Amino acid sequence: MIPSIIHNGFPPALIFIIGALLVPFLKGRAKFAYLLLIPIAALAAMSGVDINGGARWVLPLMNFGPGYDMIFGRIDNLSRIFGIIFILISFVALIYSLNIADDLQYVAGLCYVGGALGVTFAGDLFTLYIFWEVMAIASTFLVLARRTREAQAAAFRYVMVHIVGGLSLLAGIVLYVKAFNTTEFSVIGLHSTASWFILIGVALNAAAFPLHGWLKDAYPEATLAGAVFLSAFTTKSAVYVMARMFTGTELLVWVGAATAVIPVLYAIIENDIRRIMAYSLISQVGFMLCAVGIGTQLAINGAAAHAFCHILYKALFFMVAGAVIQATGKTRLSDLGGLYKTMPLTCLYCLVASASISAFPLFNGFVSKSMIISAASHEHLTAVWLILECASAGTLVYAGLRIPYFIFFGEDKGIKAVEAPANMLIAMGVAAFLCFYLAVDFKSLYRLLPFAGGYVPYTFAHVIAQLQLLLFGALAFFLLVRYDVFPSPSKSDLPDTDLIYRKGAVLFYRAADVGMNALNAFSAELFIGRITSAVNDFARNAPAHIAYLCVSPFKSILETDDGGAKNLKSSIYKAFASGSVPVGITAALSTLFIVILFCFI
Amino acid sequence: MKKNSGSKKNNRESKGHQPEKNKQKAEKKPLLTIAKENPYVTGFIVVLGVLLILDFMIHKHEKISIGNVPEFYAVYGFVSAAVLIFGAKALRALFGQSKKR
Repeated sequence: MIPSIIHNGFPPALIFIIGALLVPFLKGRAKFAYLLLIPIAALAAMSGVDINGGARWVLPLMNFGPGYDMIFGRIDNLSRIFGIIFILISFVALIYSLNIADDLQYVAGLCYVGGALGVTFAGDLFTLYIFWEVMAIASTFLVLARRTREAQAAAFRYVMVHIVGGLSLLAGIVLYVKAFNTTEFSVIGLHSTASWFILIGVALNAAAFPLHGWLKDAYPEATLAGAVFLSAFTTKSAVYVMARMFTGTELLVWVGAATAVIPVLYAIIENDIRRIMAYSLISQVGFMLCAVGIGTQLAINGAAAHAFCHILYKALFFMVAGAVIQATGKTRLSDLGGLYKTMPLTCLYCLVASASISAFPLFNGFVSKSMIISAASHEHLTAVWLILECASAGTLVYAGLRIPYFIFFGEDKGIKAVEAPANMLIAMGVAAFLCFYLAVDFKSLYRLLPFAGGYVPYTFAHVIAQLQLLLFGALAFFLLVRYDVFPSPSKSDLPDTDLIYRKGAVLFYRAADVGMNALNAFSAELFIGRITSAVNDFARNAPAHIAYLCVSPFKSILETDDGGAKNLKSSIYKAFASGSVPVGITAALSTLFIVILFCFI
Repeated sequence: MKKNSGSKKNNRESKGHQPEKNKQKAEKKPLLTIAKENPYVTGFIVVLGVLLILDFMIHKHEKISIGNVPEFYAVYGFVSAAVLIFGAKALRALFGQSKKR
């Protein structure tokens, strides 16, 4: 078996998942070394696969025949770049989380990465679905691991939402397989009911508007290291699946544009620093979805490049947030300020992340976001281009300026804080370095892209134009802050689309409560109260009732002269009550019974 | 003129803190003095000016025609940022601050 593994390699997804199982048995230095070895092993396994070699690690699925194979290794130009960044960021996140004693986070985090790799390299819908659900469950534990009441509630909502999304995906897969008799997939497009179900399931994981509420709800409640993991995998693997299945779908262009710009409004007034970053994540994924919708080679390249760069600077943002929260104990923007003196390195890393997300020249956002916007302009999509440029300026406002300004500069609140521990600084340093390096040596990034391009980000015109957009946006920010027009952070929860199921669930529960209990009470009244007691009353005096029923047709004959119908009835009941029934009645009833028996048998 | 519009918003938002805010307003220096004192602000304004001038020296071959208008990106950046910030305020005004965190 070992030679076969060396020859054929082993799916990186399973390296992570099986590797996760051994973590609780290790301690101390051995555990650190083991944790960091897992991504390295996975990278080796992935690199050993020939890009042009076709599908790898194929398992026939029972006896369904060809077209139903489980393909664990579809490694081509599109999936490879996602695989590389997933493994890379898991390595960085593991360094960041090295001093955490909670094994649950490691196991959940590693399974989560494994699930994401499984989704990325899945060549068939069945394997895709299995790893999709692995991701959902593992990530729920990363939210639960915080072990606060809010985290439990958020995790519950999170897993419910993802179960619904997973079911939609499953429904779509089942319909698709029935229609096309195969589980293999590439571009599907929006042509059938099946594809709509799949789209909704995938769009939910991608946090596309209006299915984005779960992300801003759950990510701020996760553990400090867990959020770093969470920020990278669910949404980006969904972007990959979108790029694989729904390239060029026009609906995605508009959904992506809306997803890019609407969360910006929330991010400008939110108070919890990780909630701001969650909205920021949703916004940037909107850019990627828009690019997938545009569908040209430049656009898909842009989506992949932006995913790569975004994972790096978003993880850096969440790492900075985690460091600040751990050092100060505060999660809200309104409670923070003046931290550049006590946490200078963290401040520097935050500025690098801010410059990257704003697509400032010489930072990696510039070489990736520009591709998406350029793709939009190449296709002459004026409205989309304007929306994306507007969202870019907005990104600068809330992420490029608001976050670092109000956390590290601004009003000095005299918060006692120390610089982050060494492993966090190293992890942040690696991510920050890559944010800078990939912008300078962008060719090394472009070499990994699905399509050969020849896109040149640094033209004089483009750099000047981008600097104008960013710096005049910054001018607007500073002027509005100076004249107190800039909104203060929101003191309470802002309603977003997750309100639909949060309030809706309460309404449904109340309606079910009132409705079902009323039905229950009515049934109790009817069946137990009325009908049962009626039957009981009848049964108590059944012989008399039945006798009277049989005899009453002959009332006129049997009646004595001195009474009405009551006479007959009361004499029968009296007779049964005393136990002495007149022979005549008994004889008559017996004869009747025998006649009936004779007739029907 | 700019100061008046700022203080109008202040009066609406902080009725109870009127004397404090007035004191703060009185302490705020006009932009030009800040620019003279703080080198970063001066530098920033200089850079903005340079960018505006450079716009006439670059050959923008934008596929979207409006992008070729001179100073388009500067104006659009400023306006977008302002619109989004006011949009955020509108969002809060519309949906309000319902439950306390």
